[in-house]
Amino acid sequence: MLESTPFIKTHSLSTESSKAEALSAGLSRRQTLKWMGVVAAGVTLPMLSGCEDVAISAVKMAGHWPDLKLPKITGEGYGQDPNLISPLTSPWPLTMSKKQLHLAAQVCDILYPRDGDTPSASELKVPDLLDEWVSAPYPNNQADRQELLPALVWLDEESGRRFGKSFTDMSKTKQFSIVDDIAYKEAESDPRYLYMANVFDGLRTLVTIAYFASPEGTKDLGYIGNIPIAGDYPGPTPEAIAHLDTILDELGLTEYAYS
Amino acid sequence: MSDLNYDVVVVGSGAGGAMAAYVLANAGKRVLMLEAGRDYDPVKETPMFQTVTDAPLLGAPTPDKDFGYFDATVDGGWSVPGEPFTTAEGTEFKWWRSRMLGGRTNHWGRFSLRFSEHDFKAKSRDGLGADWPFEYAEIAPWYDKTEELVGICGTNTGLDDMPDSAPGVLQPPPKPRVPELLLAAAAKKLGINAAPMHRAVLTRPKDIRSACFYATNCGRGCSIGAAFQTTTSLLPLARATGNLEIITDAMVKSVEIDEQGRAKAVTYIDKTTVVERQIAAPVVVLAASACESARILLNSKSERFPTGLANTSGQVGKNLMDSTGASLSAVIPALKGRPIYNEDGHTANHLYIPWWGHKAHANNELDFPRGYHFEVGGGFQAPGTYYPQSLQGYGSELKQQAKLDYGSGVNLSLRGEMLPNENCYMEVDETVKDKWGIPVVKFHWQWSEHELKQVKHGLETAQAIFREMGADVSASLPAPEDAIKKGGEIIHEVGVTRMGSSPEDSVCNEWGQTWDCENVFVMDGGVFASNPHKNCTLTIMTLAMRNASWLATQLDKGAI
Repeated sequence: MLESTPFIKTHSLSTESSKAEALSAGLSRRQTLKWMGVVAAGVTLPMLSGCEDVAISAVKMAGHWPDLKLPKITGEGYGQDPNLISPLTSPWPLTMSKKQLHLAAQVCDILYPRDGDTPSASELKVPDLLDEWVSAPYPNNQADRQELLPALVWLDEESGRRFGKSFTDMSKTKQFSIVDDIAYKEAESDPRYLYMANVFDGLRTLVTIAYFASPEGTKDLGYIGNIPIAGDYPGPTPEAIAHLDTILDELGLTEYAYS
Repeated sequence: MSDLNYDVVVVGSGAGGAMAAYVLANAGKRVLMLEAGRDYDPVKETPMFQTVTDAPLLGAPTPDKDFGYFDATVDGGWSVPGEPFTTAEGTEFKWWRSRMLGGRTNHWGRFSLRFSEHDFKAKSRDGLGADWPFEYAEIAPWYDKTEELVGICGTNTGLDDMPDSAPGVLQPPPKPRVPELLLAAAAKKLGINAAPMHRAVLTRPKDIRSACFYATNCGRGCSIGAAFQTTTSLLPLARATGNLEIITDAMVKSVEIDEQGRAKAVTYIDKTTVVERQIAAPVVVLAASACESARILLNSKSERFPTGLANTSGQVGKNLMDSTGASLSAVIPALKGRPIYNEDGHTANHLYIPWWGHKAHANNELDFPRGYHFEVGGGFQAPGTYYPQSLQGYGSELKQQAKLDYGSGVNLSLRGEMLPNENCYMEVDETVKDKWGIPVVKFHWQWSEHELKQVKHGLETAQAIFREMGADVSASLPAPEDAIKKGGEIIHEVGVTRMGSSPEDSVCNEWGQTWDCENVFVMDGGVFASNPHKNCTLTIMTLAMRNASWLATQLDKGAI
């Protein structure tokens, strides 16, 4: 069951070394076991048999996880021979409502607000990517849809429980007070936030990748590349080599330096 | 070209088939090539410089494009539409196929390491698996010729796992980058050498191809021909002789024989009209990929060869081997916040770690029989492929962390030699046919203790290297059974039509000529007698060059 919930897979470090290793993260078996550990520690939950399904249900219950019963999206993907030079911009119908997109935009901008001249995540259209992501007909995307859309509802319901308002109607301070409970490691030991914290972590990863993939985000990150170089590859800059020399020294590796 | 107007029919246009066609066409033989996939032109179809924002889902892998949107695989990947395969109950196997001119050479990793005498004669040393029917010294000149033609960058290191190339054959390798240099020093402290990876990437221009300009991932293909693929090199060069004709969308089903037991024709499905056609074949070279070639042989049943063509030994489909694979990653605190520069390079590792355990093996210090190497990943990847390890918080502290972590992850990927075993083989599943009506392949798979112990050693070594790099290595290592990749997942499947010195226990002789049928040859990875850890494509091409040259001389003599 958990195989079906890998938040975002990105491609590869280098073709060969990771061609067979699409990176996956988020709700992994490791995390399930971690939940079971929390559950087994007896934090306000009934005795369990050690079954992963039961553990997950219990953690969802403790966290007031909304059960949305979302209908499955069935449709065609882009196929196994799509146009690589001019890809379709939207290969499948988008499905998020205005309300969902509005809430998603606020979450995106809590994660990556405008920073001087660098636009915020919503200004860089990250919510549109989320919509494309959860609307795609592929199994991983459909699994992520079953987590991400309930997460938006959870934020609204949690706002209601705490402040009697929906998430988007609250002040930034109040929004932060909720996000503070789900955005850090501490949530792993609190059954109220454990499940949402895992989903939030997956959402944060997806938003982070989308944010830095945009031209403005790429500039902000500082990536230099994807440009043709005439002649030989220049290798590390003098500054990078000086830094390497420093860390080799600090790690006691200077005498083993590659030559 | 009419049916009677050519000398050799080559099945497949990938590494083996294209090299065979190139050699034969240049020797004046008229060659007809049948390719199961569609025509493909990297000059027009390669997404050079497109960023992930140009692709659906940021280019992420999907079941339609298993290695991501821009990967140069057409109508394939872990599945091919309408062309299933089956696996025995309780076993798992992954089979990467593509249906395009040039096959899997359009996207391969381009890692090109020579096998050595040590590799070719491993059974003589430890009694396991099979020896190859020739010496390294005999094949070394063919490696030189192949490396020269393909264009390999790298260095002669003198290390015992890396036989030297003849002087002047290798092109200069690109300079190593910071994570590789740090890793090399850490490994050296443990007595392990790093070395320049040998890759089929031009760093100097050659014939119709340009030198690498160090940008845009080779897995997308290479429109300038710097990263080797047959569609920008061997195939256009062979076509230029006027002696090669290619029919695409031709899915070969079987080889037909005459009363004397010689091949007389090839049967294929013309996929565009879905009509079965038969074409006369004076000589057949199978290079459809190891398991497809074995499938064709097994599906070529006759009264004379009731268990399939060239299968008197019963070895067709047996001895299926992949490389072992496992991977370990670490965040290196010392690499956080380091000065950013262009680390694209030739888009794969500039340094790798060749197998260093030859002496330890000789001294019986290791509990597994065969070696492995490590490929190194990391660096300032293009955004969209950059994957933050573990993020906390939100807002400016989140962004600060993401930027600080950028370029601090390092990955070691193990690629090791597996031994053939009786539980790893393929056969034809008579109960399932593909959409062309051809019975499909059924796989059987089980790793042995040899591979699991090797992976355990590799994980511990990788952890030790990361420790020297200052990483937190307190997390316990995964069990080898969990860490090892699935059979087939490394896409080095070979051995199912192996060559040998006796018709009793092999399918082909040292020339790739089947023992049963003198005018049927196999020139893909199926002929491998063993599967050294060094990536199979360079040796597939080298054997195809050598054996097609031999075939040409036999045709000249009228001996076949």
